[in-house]
Amino acid sequence: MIAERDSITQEELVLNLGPQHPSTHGVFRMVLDLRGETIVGVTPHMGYLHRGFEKLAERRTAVQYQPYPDRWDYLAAMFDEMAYIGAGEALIGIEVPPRAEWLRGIVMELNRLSSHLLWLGTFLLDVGALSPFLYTFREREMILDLLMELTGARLTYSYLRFGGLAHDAEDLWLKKVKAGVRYFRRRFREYRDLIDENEIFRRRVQNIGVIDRDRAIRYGLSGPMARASGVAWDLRRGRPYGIYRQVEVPVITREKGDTWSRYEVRMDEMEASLGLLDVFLDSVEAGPVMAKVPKNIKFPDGETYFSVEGPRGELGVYLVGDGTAHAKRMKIRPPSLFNLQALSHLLVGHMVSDAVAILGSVDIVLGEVDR
Amino acid sequence: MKTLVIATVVGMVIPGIAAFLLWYERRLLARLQVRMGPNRVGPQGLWQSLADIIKLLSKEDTVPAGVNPWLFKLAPVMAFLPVFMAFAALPELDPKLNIGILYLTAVLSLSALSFLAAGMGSHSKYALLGGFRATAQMVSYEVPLTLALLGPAMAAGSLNLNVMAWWQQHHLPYILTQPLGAIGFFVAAMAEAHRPPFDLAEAESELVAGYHVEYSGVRFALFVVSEYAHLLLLCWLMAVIYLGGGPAWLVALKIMAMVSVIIWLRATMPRIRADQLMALGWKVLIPLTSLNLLWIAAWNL
Repeated sequence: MIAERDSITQEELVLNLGPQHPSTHGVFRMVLDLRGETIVGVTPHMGYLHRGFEKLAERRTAVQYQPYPDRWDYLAAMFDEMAYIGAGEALIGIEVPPRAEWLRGIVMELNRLSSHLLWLGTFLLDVGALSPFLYTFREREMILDLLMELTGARLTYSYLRFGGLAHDAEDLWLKKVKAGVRYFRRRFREYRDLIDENEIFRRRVQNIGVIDRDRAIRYGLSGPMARASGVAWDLRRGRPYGIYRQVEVPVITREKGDTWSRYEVRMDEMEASLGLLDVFLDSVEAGPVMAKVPKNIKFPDGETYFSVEGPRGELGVYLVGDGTAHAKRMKIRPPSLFNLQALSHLLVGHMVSDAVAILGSVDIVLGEVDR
Repeated sequence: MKTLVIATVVGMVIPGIAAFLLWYERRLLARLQVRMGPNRVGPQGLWQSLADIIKLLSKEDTVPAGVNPWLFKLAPVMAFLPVFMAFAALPELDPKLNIGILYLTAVLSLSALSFLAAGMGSHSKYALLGGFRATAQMVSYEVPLTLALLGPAMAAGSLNLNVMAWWQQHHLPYILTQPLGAIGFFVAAMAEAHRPPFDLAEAESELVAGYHVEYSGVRFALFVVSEYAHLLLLCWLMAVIYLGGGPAWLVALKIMAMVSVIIWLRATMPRIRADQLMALGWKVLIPLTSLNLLWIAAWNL
């Protein structure tokens, strides 16, 4: 039998997936070594979308740099703004007025919803289900409309400022968000009815791309990726910032660490976000949205690390100031990049179809990976 | 003379119906996905497929570098021919063909060759993987499809499709007496026609377009038309063999119902994986359809 198997010549097929492939979520490229359809090796290539954002922070003044973070992770721009502005505020020592903190919470949770909705649609598209993509985009469009009404932009908001917000939100807008939350609750029930019990979907994602707790920690995974492997780590709870110091954030975890767990964690997170939005909308207080800050913002001598819980995980900014208006050095910790490190561990041994599903479940944004 | 009429009908009308199905699918799928679908060309966008076909026909005929020209050029024709030849056996076209089912299975199994040829000849790894998947799928689902066809043949005591339809009009439709066979036939037919959730040979999100990734223009049109003709053929067979046939309008109604269900499934289901597809074919459908055959054999004793 063994001799017979040896007599068949076997060859490994090198398959190049990306950077123009429809399912690599942007310009990610991976070179798969295949034996039949089984993956035996992965070589990821990234950097196709590198735009030098870290260096730009040294060449622009603090205020000039404000619109740039929006372009790191263009699907969850509020979190990038929060990370950059938060780091700056921590370094300079600016107190933000309470209303601004509440509103920051609202826009961030809205943005988390829109980001997760896009993930849900594209992930199911990767698995081969067409329709949920269009359903989630319908809902995402409404969130983008809300954010556009508030900030004037659909994706790149430039809404946060050192010391507060660009402008206040009107009561009517808050009412609209409230109505939106009710509407989204109903829609989420629909999604879960449509997707959860689908036998093909379950078989496609269960026990696929498993990463255990220890390995998740060692790879430095964060966000839903880590929580799906049983790491109960959510920065909104573990190292709270802004308004999250005042509210109780539920940490959603699953134990198995497979693609299905990551799906479940993100679905539950969306519902948790809706719950948080309810709390925020009920307790938002009146007052100014901007603290007294000097016109020319200068980063003092010193360094700081400030991180927020983005939809993809720990999004951190390490900022060094030297007393000028420019940052001396800025380093971004993009969650997608770290989550992507586990890729070859996740993929090897699975099939090509699974590779696409697993990559979808990692939820990468190349703007953030390559910066 | 009669042969000429059949040839004309198959050659002219079937592509027309296939184009209509293409439009119908896009439109219905769009409605299921809260979109509009094509609605600009003609009333309700009805001429959209016609416009697409004209566009494809007027495109430059390209053969990519590095392909095996024979296989590459032959593949679309090999996909197109067997499906269209199979239509000749349908009772609406030729009620007296006594070897209907034998002819159908023989002709339809030829189309597996075209996917292999397209995959091997395209000089593209995506096409190669798609071709392998498609061929494996066709070969494995041929078996349950044939087994499911045998049940009604055994019950009617004839290989003639018209006799089967006639039998059902005087007794019960076979879907009621042989539900296992009907389910097996339906699933196997969807897999044979590469309909989602069994469209892994042309999986957009994995293999971009699978075996026809390198094709454009007329050759691509041939692939698409033969795919929809295949769908039409299998729905037609289902209508005749399991749903009882009947007058032409009734058959058309049954075909449209089947097509609608298949499109509905496309809108709902994620794609199945290659190994799961094989497991479904060999471990579920073949036992199921064999059981159906045994059941009919016992019934007729």
